[in-house]
Amino acid sequence: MTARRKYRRGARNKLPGPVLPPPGTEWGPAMRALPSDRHRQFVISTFEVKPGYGANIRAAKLACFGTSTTTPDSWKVIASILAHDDKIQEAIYEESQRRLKATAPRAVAAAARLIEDPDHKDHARAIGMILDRVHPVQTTHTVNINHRKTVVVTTAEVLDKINELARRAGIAPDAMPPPMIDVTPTDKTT
Amino acid sequence: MTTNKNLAAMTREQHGAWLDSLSDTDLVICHVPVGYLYTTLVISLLKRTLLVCPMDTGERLEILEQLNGLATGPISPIALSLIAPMCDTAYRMVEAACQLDPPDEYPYPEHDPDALNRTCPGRKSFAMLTSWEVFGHLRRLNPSIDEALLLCFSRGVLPRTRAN
Repeated sequence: MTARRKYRRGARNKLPGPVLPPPGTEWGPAMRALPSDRHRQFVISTFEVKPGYGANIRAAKLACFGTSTTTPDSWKVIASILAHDDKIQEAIYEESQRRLKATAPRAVAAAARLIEDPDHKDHARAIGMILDRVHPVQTTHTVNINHRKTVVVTTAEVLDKINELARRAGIAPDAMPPPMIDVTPTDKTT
Repeated sequence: MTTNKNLAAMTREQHGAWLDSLSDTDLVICHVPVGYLYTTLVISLLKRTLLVCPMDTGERLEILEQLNGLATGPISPIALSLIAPMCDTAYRMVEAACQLDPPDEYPYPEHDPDALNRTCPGRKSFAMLTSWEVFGHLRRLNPSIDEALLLCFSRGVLPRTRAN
């Protein structure tokens, strides 16, 4: 049986040009591992489209997937396949890391402005946040491992119990030798 | 004195005649389950240990608790207090019997209810010490064992075959 020929009514969408990394940089390993520029563009588009319902479809359209006559149901499928692809998810994670690191200086600057504004409602919170990172609270864990043989402390109560048990067993308490103080084992053969 | 060998060689009729020839005390003790006979020996041995061996308070307390724990079932606390400590001769007999047990015998063998030859620890010494001949020697060395066993087992124990 011959394979069913894929029937495409419209013209396949094409990217206007190659998808390049920002000037002076290179793609990371996950982006390089993607099969084509359209996939890389899809990853970049997921950060640029308006978030919400249909965001993956908008990213897929920006990446020039599909054709001019692709139906909405087909777009749903295309977007779902792309969004759930393992390689694309790794590339999204990699790109997220890059963008977060790029945003860090602005976050630090905003925190500094927050510190300088004592009237801001989160002023104290910002101070605590920064101090926790600069001078973290030190905790000390003390672990004591004591390997001790269980020793019965010779108290009056214990001696009374021993005497009582001996009397019940028909043994005169005075007839028993005095208890040893040194717990060094001796020859126990009787 | 009837030996273990003689007893093993008796026919059923000879065994019945032998039972009829026993005194009341011997007859009672003959019908006591061997486990309780062994318990009386253990009580006697533990009392000897307490009186002879120097030990620390913890060990003494533990042994006393074990000793008092033996007063269960038909062995009453009064019987427990009646039994005298084991003498030196009896102790040497027990020591000799314990040499029958394998030295490397695992004290807690795996329980196998279907095993025909169960190897519970101390089985050989137990059989030797509770045999009629050996236990008879131990009774003569420690008459308090007779008193204790009669106190616990003498009520209505006499067999029906005995001619009164």
